[in-house]
Amino acid sequence: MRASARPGAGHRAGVARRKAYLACAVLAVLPLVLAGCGGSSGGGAAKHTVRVSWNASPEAAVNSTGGGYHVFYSKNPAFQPGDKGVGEADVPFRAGAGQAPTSTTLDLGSGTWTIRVQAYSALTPPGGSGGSTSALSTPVQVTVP
Amino acid sequence: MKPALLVFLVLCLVPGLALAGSHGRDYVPGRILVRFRSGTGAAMQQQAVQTLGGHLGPHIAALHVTRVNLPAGTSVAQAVKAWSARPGVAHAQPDFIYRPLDTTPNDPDFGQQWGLHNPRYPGDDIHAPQAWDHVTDCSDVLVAVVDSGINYTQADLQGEMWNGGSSYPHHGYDFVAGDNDPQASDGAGHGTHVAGIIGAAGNNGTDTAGVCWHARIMALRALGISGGTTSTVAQAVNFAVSHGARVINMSLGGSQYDQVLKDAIDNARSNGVLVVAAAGNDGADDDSSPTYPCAFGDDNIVCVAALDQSYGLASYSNYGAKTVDVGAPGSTIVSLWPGSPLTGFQSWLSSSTSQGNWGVIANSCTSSSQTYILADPSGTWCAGGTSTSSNDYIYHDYGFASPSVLGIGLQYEALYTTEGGGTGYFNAAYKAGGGNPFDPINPGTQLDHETGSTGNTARAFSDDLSGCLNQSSCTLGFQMHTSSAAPSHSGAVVALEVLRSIQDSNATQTESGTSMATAFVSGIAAMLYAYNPHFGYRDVITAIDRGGVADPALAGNTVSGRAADAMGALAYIQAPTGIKASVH
Repeated sequence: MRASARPGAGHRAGVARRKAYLACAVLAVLPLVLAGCGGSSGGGAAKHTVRVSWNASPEAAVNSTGGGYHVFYSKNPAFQPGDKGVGEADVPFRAGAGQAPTSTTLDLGSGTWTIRVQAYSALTPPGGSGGSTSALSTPVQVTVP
Repeated sequence: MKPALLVFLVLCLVPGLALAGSHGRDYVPGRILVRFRSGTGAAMQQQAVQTLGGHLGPHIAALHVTRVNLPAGTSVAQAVKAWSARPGVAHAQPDFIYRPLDTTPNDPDFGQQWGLHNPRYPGDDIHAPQAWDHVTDCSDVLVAVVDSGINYTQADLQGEMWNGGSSYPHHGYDFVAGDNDPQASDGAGHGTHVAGIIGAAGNNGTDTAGVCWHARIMALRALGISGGTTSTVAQAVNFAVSHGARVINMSLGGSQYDQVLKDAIDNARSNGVLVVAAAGNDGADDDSSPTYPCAFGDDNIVCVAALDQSYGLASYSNYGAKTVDVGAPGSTIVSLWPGSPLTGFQSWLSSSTSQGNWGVIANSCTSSSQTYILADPSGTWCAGGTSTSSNDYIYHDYGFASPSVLGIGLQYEALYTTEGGGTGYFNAAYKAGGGNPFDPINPGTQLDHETGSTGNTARAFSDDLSGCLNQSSCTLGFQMHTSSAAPSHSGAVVALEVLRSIQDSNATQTESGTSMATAFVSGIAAMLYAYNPHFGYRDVITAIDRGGVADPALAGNTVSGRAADAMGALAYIQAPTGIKASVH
């Protein structure tokens, strides 16, 4: 499957995401700002397809409805998912599949990209809300010509 | 405008939906539901699909909606927006997810089971109702309880036991007696209590709820009423491993390194079997005073401390920043019991078998809660009187002819000062078939034989009375025996319980200890295995340790600093591994 690059809004807390979207909605009337809000995969340079894969999570909740993976990518090797300019591909479990996909492709421009994967599920731990997420994977880097 | 930007713009225009669907957690990703206006034919529907992508899924006639499967990479928010704007579409929406909310069982004692749900100190529990929203049935997971035997006929357990086939028709093995019936034949309730915490049938309107409402428990009797040995415990562990157990509950411990038991634990590890063990009840630091098997250090062992009702470390609980992994509810835990005991000395009042100076007296001089006690000399014991009779004894006849009695044991507390010089003694004995258990010609079976003095601190005794099973007459007695003609001695039995394991018992009991805490963790482990078929023991331990709830009382006292939590463990996710990226 191919995932769409998404803007680098907050990925963990729903409230953070809401604020980000509201802010972007306001800014959407300004084309220059809009480009900066959403562009994260390499600007106007030629893009290449980067295939990202990982081991299947053993947790059943990741591999069932409401579960899946986030693939985060950035040219900043020390990025955090909420940082500006960090791209995100959502790779959800789809009904009928035995497990959530364990790979995706990204269209990335030239440069060295750092990629980290995070698993998520619909199960909410005590004191939490809206499901749970894993820690980020160990980062890997890929250089796109 | 770039496609990604288009997606972004749509999301910006429907921020609420973007929020709800940001992780696909509140609706099913990859599809939406569409209700077409009447008269919208198949051609128009297909035209919409060709324009917007994806394909039509099944039509749900009862709801007048059609499922639309979206093309990869299309967000639900985008699709709802686009489909809503199509001619011929009356309505489009995500396929929302609904879940049960905090499942609560109807078991009558559930309200007392604070470890599962704590109304007095909300949150100081394992969040069982939340976990039960997702899994209640652990019967695919075999849990071995290495303990004092189990009354497998207990009403809340009889459907939750391992089927051992014709070789093991009683759901396990008895390594104390060396037979295949692990019934608590000595009436000991510890194993039944532990088993109930793990897997008492839930939501069946009877007694308590287990951490698992449905379980598969293997009963392995390795502890007699006074404890077990290397051979009984290690054999039980090996039996569990060789017969498919995935979790071994060991609510027991010893203070000495035991290579034979270590080998058995290693064997469990080699076979991928998780061992959950108790930290101990000495209030001690296990790092400096090890309790085994906790302290063996195998990575398949979870060592458990006990928490009280406000999630403080229980005063009796051992701890260890390096050796104890987690805490769990351990104090005042209500669970199953093999049968109601016969308590106290009321029945002894009508006994005509008192001999010498022994007698049943009103309890006006001890801290025991018993209304009556046995005392020798009965007339002056409370005032510090002593007996000069050479051979005092008292016994009482209990009948256990009923076939519903499956096990009998004895627990009592005594104070005594025997004849000086070590020539006198305090005795306890029983006699199957009745009669004087201290008859010098035809004596009964001796239970305890003590010399010296307890001072003012009562000493506790536990004994196996299974020899009384199926006996219509069985006498139990106490004796102060001397060798001289004019001795000076005194004795009293200040508390007494005749333990019974009863067919189809529905008894419950409140107990405290790291044994109980261990059982909670075993239940959580079974739940994790049941929910996650691909889990190995390392996955289970990681989920328990890291998915627990941080508890200040456990910080510095355990490795994790956390209280084991069923919902937290279920929700815990390990970071993905094996990440690879390549340019194509």
